Amino acid sequence: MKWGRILAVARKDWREAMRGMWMVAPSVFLVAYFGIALPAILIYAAKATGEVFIPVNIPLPIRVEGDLARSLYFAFQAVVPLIFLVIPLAVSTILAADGFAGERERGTLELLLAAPLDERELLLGKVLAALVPGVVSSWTTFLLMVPTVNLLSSDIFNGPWFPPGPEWIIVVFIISPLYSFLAVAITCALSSKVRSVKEAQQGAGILIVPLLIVVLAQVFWGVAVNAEALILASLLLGGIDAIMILALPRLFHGIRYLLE
Amino acid sequence: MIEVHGLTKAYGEKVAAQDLSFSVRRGEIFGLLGPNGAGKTTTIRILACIIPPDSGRIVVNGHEVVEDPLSVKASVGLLPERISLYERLTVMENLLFFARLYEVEEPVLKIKELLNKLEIQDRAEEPVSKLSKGLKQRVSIVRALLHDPLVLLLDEPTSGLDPMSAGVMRSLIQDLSSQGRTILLSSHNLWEVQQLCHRVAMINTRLLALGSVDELSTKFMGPPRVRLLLDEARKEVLEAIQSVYGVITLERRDGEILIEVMDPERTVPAISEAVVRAGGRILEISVVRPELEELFARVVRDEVGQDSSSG
Repeated sequence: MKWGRILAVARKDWREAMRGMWMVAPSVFLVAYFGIALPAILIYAAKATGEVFIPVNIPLPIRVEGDLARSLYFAFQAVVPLIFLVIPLAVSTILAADGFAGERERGTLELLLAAPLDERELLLGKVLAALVPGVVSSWTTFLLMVPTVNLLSSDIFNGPWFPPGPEWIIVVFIISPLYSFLAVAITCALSSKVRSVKEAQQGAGILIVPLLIVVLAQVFWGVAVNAEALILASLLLGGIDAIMILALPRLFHGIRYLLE
Repeated sequence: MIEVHGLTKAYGEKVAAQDLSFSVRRGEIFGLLGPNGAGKTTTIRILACIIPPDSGRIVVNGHEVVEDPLSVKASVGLLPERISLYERLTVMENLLFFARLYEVEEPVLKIKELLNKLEIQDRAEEPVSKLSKGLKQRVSIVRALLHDPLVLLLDEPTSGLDPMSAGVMRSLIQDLSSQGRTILLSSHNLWEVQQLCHRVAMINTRLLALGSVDELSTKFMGPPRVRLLLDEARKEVLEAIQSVYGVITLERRDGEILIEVMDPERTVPAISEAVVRAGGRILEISVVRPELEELFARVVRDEVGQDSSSG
């Protein structure tokens, strides 16, 4: 396996994506919206109305004074971490869906398959091409969110408080890349089976379901997600990813039939 | 250089290639002819290791297609029927990408050399989307030649090109063949195949005919004919012609004489000599070769006739 060829495939995809606004504009929008606009809206709305939007009775890991702070804290804790799973999912699956089905639609798949790359190199190149922008977008969002939240809400929390615990670090830097990899691998496999990018994107839509279940569990059933639960989830995701790495070449084998 | 034995491929119920066997020699330009759906593109894709055969033994440049696809791929240059370039990238970016996949040494130098040769060096930094079809096809040829392949597989290389670009492409194919590269091309342009190819295989999922155009003409259209125009078709002149070794039949038609011969290269000088010796004067003499189009129609018609009679 030669990394030069894997990176050549990934770099080519990035270059193509950068030339088309269809990729760059939505990614920049997502990062700016979730990194700056959404936290600002949440904080200003809470301050302006003084409203406690979620009554919170569960114990909080940090000392938070007042209902407004407790409510805001819970909103961030329950909903915002999922952003770091949604962003890479959105960014990466666009690229991953385009990976093979897009090459086929544009008539370039034939030459890619005729090049002296083994299937694993081609697949890794495509996975890397889709994974990196998603993870980078997620991390950039986090890096923007930290100063935004602290700047706008330090008066409520009596100083910088965000991120409030190790859970965030686990979500952003471990679970987010692991889940993105899983999403990209599934979408790439789908993209190598279906005949159009649209079909691949529709198929990849299913990946949002686990995230919705987590949100519902937290908001409606009060399921607390602590560091231990997240470490367990990371191990589980890591295991699934490992199985995926082993199974992918077999799933991917059907790519040649796209040309038949 | 290319050995195909019993190549068979089906897509579900539909048979694309059935027990195809042929070989292409080093430095040869070999034409693959057939109607739409005859299996030409499938055969080329199998030779390029893009899709696997269902059965058969295929060897390209000494490497087995099924056993050692990466070595086959490294020694083959493919020009697909549809122009396969990344439209958003520039010519140079496209070529550098493929140069990296094929691990070309000093890729920029190699690309510049080929772009110069095909006279498109000034378009290197332009996006491919801005180029005409003819220029895109030249870029595709540069891409196919980047790794100095010994075998070139060209699927409809002049399809959709304007006459000037098609002419450039044809002379390039001849140049490449004279450099010792083996070229297998499929084309709908039978005139082009007749001009370029040393040998042709006519297929319609299975092999219908194989050989040089002359060999196939003799086999399917009967012996070649010589068209002769004399100042006066006197009896003794005609008798002299008929006595020449290699003349099979002689027919007078509309003031011309049509002579079926075994080997035109040897018989034509002998006929000329016999006419002069008998006191006749030749106004015009030429060998009538059947057009490949005519030949192709005959072969396909024969096959359809055989199929319907056997069915």
